[in-house]
Amino acid sequence: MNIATNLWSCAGHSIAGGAHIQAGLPCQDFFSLTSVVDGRRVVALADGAGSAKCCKTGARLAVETIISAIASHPGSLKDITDVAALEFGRQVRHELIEKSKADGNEIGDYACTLLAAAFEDDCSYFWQVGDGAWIVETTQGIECATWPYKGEFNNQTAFITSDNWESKWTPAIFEDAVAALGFTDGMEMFCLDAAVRKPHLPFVERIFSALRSQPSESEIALRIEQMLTSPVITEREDDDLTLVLVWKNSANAPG
Amino acid sequence: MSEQIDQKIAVGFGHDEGDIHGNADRRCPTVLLLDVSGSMSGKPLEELQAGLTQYIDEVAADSLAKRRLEIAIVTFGGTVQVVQEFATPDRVLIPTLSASGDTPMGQAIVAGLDLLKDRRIELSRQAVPQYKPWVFLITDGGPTDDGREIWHEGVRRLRESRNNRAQFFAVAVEGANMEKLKQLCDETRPADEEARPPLKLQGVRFRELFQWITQSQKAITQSNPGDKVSFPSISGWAAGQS
Repeated sequence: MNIATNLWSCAGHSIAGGAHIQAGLPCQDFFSLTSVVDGRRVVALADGAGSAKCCKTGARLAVETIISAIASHPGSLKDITDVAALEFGRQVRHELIEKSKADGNEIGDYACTLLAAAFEDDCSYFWQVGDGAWIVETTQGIECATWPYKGEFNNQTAFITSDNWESKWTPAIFEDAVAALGFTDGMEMFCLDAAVRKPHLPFVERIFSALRSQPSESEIALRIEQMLTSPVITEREDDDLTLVLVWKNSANAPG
Repeated sequence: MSEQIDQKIAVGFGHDEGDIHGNADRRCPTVLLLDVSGSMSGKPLEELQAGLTQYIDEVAADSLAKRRLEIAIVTFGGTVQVVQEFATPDRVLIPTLSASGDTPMGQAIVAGLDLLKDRRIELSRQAVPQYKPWVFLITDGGPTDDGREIWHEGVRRLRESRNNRAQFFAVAVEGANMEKLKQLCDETRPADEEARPPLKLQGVRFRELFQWITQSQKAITQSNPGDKVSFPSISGWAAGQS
């Protein structure tokens, strides 16, 4: 395996929240981690809106569409303009509209948030509509790449299916990222300090520090699962939970 | 997968309680306005005390309610006293109630809603998600400050608070001025909310009343803010209900 294809590792896990299990509902989050193509790794996650009847389908279709759109975009990541990036969102909406027509539904029946990120050697790009967030670790420290959008009430957000999605589409670009953490809204209270609009460092530092020892993807996937199902989390949050991690392998790491 | 993992590695990322943000729990502020006027002395006060104690003990033992409820207690009997500022159930010091004096209900409403307003501002400042707050008024009389400015202030503040989505429950103990309480409920009701007239307590069934509050608040604290939640039946404590 050559270095270029192994530059970025990733792992993630989703669990159905306690409230959803009690109500007999499936996990309405969806995430996907693709393999590296031409030195670019793309990951995405989505949280289906509980009030939308096909939200699980919407979350899956949104994730798969945006991954495919970003992965196949020609040129390097840093050349993608904000205008070009909006096209990724439009493709997702196009697929959702087609799906809703085929099924005799409205696009709103597929409502979901959407978080995506792409990684190349010298560029990391993040996009988001709605809540949840991306936190990035760079050579300078740990910071939020995106921030959850909240409406007037805390349980309201924006969706890729919303008419005003473009105004809620937040891109962010970093040249020196070494790791990134993406999550749906159930993890916000653990990973973020909302009062100061920053990452809650005691929590996220433990996660990022585990990535420094060149762990395997399967080890980190298991650790994420263990964390999401631990009482520290489940006694506080009964929403669906999804968390993905992407980290850069050092150049001399075993391939 | 697990066989690849070194057994010595901490479970997950080794997070413990110390790594959790102090505001990592959404909150449901609850104000109890308790009538301890002279007429409550004897059996009613004993049962109110027993019900209150049982309530705090039970919500403090529930894993979600103990972190998501914040309870403040104001008593009114002769004087108005904030006997408990907002605290999670495990930090509430259960007051020993004693009955005396008249019924300054308007002043108690203002005192309770002052606490609520300050707390909601602080929670918002810290971006802590909030459930609709609950305000309980439990009385066996009528306002002795009726007609005074403080009563009008209480009515005005309660209306404002209910317009800001506070859930208001008036519980009438035997001897309460039902007409006045009904007027209070009606006058402060937001236009888009169904009427919620005062509920009459059967005898001194305070324990059943607080049991109902406990069950309802457990249901609330298991939900997401803004969700519709169905409450248990009130037939165990309210008179004339089926």
